[in-house]
Amino acid sequence: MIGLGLDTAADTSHPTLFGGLPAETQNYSVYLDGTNDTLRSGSMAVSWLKVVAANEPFSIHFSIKLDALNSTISFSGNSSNYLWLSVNSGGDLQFSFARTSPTRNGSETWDTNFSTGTWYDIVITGTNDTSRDLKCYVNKVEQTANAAAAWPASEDNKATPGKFTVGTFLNVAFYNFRIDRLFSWTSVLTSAEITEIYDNYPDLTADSGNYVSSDDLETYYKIEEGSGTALSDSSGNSNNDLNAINPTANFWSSDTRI
Amino acid sequence: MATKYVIIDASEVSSVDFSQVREDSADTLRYNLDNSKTFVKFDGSTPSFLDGKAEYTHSEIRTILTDEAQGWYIADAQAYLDSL
Repeated sequence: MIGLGLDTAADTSHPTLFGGLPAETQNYSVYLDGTNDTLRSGSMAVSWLKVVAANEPFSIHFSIKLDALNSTISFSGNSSNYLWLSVNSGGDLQFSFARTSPTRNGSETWDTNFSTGTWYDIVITGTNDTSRDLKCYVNKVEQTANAAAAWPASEDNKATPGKFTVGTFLNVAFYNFRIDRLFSWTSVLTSAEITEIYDNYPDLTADSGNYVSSDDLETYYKIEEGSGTALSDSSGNSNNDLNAINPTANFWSSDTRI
Repeated sequence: MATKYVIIDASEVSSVDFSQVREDSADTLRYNLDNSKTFVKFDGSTPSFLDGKAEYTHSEIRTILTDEAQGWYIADAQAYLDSL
């Protein structure tokens, strides 16, 4: 495979950090061109969505800028046993799973009304109640949920088989978008914490301001490498790299939310 | 430098020099739904093993790959899952 360059066509202006808080750098996102490129790791159990585990609370965070609606963000598993994060043709975010033996499923859709060409900062939280209470925040604002099918907390989605993927649906459809900042926790972040992260993007390995869940941080893919094909986890929890498969020359993008 | 995309027959995969394209190996190629065709992408000069074949821009290949009639695309992923 030939080497990677940098997409420099996008806006490179970032706000000045202030307040003396430890803050993430925000120089890069990655771009999937929607032809045959993906992010992939060996298994769900050691990558971003591993926190969706049996009887455990969770929070997941990501930033995304879509080129098109009706897109799968992440699909892991097979046709009958999967965990699926997607945006439907109306721009609404959907999170769902299915499993056989015995047959079970769960899903939630939120009225996010996403548009193309706009960065969104997204947090999904799930309690460990018998039927999970799932919430979604977009740009720190809680979204209205609809079309839910109860999601049993006892379901161990962490054990979804096969590789963990971003940007493809079963390798038969691929989607183009920029994605950044894949984080997850083994607890339900509060609205105040989500606001802290959105406004001040602190270093998530230490409590800062209203953010008090650093001990629960499980994955921390900052996506700031700027070159190469491996996206590493900075949580200290020995999670797999996310590997870029078939990236294009503009895989590394200077277009970020902030 | 814009990436170019070339569709090839599945039978031609053995002729691909993966040092000259973005794909790592035959294992990472994407095939159409009947597995008769695949494609590779590259930057710069056209690799000699692709000489004479139609080259597409990103926009052009996306048009092909998102057209269900051309056999590469599943518009309704949930319906596809339900059909399996």
